[in-house]
Amino acid sequence: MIPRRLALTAALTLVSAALAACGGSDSNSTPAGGSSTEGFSSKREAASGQTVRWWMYGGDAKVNAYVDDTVAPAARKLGVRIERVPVADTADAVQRVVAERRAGKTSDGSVDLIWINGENFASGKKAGLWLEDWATGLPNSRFVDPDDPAIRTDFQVPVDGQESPWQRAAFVFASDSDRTDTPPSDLDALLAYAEENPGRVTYPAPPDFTGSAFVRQVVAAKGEDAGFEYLKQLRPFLYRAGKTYPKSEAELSRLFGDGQVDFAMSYDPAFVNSGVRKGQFPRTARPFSLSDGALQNTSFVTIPANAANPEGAQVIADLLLSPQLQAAKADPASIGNPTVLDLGRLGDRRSLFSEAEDSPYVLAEYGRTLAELPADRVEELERRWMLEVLRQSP
Amino acid sequence: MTGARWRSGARDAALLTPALAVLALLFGGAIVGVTRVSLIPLGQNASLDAWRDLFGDPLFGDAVVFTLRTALISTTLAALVALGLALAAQRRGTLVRSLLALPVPVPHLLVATVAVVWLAPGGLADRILGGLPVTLVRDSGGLGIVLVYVYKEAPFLLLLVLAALGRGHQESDEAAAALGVTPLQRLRWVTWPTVRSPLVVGSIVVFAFALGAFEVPLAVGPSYPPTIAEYARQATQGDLISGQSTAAATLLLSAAGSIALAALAVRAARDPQGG
Repeated sequence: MIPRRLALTAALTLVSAALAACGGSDSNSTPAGGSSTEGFSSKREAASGQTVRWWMYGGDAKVNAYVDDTVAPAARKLGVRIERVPVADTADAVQRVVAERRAGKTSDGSVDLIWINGENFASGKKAGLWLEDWATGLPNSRFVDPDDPAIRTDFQVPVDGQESPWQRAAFVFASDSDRTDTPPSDLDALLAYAEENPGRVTYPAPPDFTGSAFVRQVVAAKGEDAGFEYLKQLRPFLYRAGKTYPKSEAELSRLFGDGQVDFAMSYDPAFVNSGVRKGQFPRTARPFSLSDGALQNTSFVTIPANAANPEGAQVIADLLLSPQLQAAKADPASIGNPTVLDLGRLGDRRSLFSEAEDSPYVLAEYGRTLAELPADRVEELERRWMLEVLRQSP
Repeated sequence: MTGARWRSGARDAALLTPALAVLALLFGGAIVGVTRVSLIPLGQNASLDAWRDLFGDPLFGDAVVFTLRTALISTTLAALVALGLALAAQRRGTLVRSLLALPVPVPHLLVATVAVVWLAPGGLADRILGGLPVTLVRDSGGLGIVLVYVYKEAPFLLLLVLAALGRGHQESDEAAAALGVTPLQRLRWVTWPTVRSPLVVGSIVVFAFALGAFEVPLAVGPSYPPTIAEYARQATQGDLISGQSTAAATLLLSAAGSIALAALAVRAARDPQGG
C-alpha cells in the first residue's frame, strides 16, 4: 500500500518537474497596445466564440454564484463563455503560468484570466508574466477614477495597464451583539478585551491571507516594531493561549459561529452578511471596524501574456466594470461589495447603486483608510511573524 | 557454465529494462529538472542563493528537526503496536486479522480529514464537549500527525509481520516449547529473528513515507513548526518566483534522504537478519 502510494506520488511530482525542466525560461511577453473603443469592437469580434478560463479563488460561494449567475449570462450575450477554474489559493494560478513559462509555452496557455492582487500580481509583473497595456483601453474603464491610488497601484506596485480593477476590499471585524455589548473601538481596546477575557480572541496564522492581513492591519496602524510588540503582548491571551492558531479565515469563522471566540475578521467587507445568510453566524452578528483605521485594497483581473483567449478575457474584464454588473455586486443580497467605479462619473447610472438597500450586516463607512503595504513587504512581515510571534510561542 | 551465467544475466537485464527505463526517465529527468530550478530562478542568472537561503533559515532547521522527530516517533510506535497486535493475533482466524488490517486501504487524507472534523478546534468533539481537555489536532508537538500515522501504518506493518509468522514459525515455536524454553526466551530466539527482517524493512518504508508526505501534516499539523514538505509548499506560496527555487532545494534534500533510506531498505531486505 505505502510503497505504491509513495511511488505514485513521487512519479507524479517527478513527471511534472521533468516536464518543467524541458522548457526554456525566456522572458517573452506580448504587448497588446492601448486600444480605442473602435479597437475594442474588433476585439469583441475576435472574442466571439471564445471560452475564457477564469482562474479564481473558489472558496467564496457568493462570488462563485455571482460569476455563474450574473457575469456568465451577460458574457454569453456577447458570445463569450466563461469557464470558472476554482483554486484554493490565487498563487496556484500564478504557479501554473510560471510552469508554462518554464516549459517555453509562450502562447495558447491554459489560463486566460486571473482574479488577483498584491504579491501574486507583483511577482508575476516582475517576471513579465502579464499581458501589457490593455486595461486602460477597456471602454468601461472610463467609469473608473484613474488617479485613485487604490486603482493606479496595487499594494503600492504600479498597475501599468496590466490588470483591471474589479472589487474593493476593507478589513472588517465581526462581533455578536448578544455576547459583546460594545465591540473594541481600537487595537488597544482589543488587547484590553483579550486580557479580560483570555482565550476569547484569535486570528488565523499567516501566511493565511486573512491572518497576514490582520498582521498588516496592526503594523499599518502602529508601525512595524510597535505592531510586533503589540502582537507579542496579545499572544498569551489568545485562544488556547496562542499555542495554536486557526489555519484559515473559515476556521476562525467556525469558532466565532460556535461561540468559542468573540470576534471574526475578514478582508471581505460583506462577510457578516454572507455568514448570517449561510446560517454560520447568528442573526445578531454585526460588522465593526477599528478607529485605528481599516486596511483597504482593490482586487483586479489580469491576463497572462501567453493566454489562449486574450480578446475574450478583455471582453470579460470590461464587462466586470459595467455599472449594471458592479451595482449587482454591490447589492447586499448578492455580494454587498463596494464598487470600484467612481460614482461621480456614472451620470444617470448612479441610481443603480442607490437601490442597494441598507443592511445591518454591511458597514456604510470603514473609517480611516489604512493603505496597503508594498507587495514585497508582505512576505517579509509574514516571515517576521513566524520567527518572532509563532516560533517563540510558549 | 560461464555462458549460462551470462545468458541468465542478460535475461535478467532484459526483464528489468522497461522498469529501469521508466525509473531513469522519471526520477533522473525530475532530479535534473529540480536541480535546475534550485539553481536558476525564473528570469534570473544561475546562483546558489536558494541553497544559501535554505541553510541560513532557522525555520528550515526547525522543520527538519520536527519532521525527523514525528517520523521517528510515528514509526517506532507503529512498529511496537504492530508487533504487539501480531503476537496477540497470530493464532486468530482470518476475520480478526482482516478487521485489524482494515485501516490499510483507507487513504491517509481521509483519516486526517476525519480527525479534523472530529478533533480540531471547533470540531464536533469540541462542540459536543464544550472544549476538548487535550489538543490532539494542531498540537505543537505534532501529536495529531503521530496518531494518524500510527493508526494508518501499524496495520500495514502488522500485515508484513503476520505474513512472516506462518506455519514454519508456529512449528519452531511449538518445538521450542516442547523442549521447555520459556515464553520470553522463545520471543527472543524464535519469534524475533522471524519478524525482524519484515519489520525493519517495513519500518524504513513507513519512515520514508512519513518523512516526505505532506497531506497529513497539512491537515492535522500545528501552526508551527512545519514539516519539510510543508516548508517547501509554504516557500512556493510566499515568494512565487524565488520560492520555487527554495522549494526545489528543499525537496532535493528530502529526496536524497528518501533514496538513502531506500538503499538501506534494500540492504535490510537482502540480509535475512534484517540488517
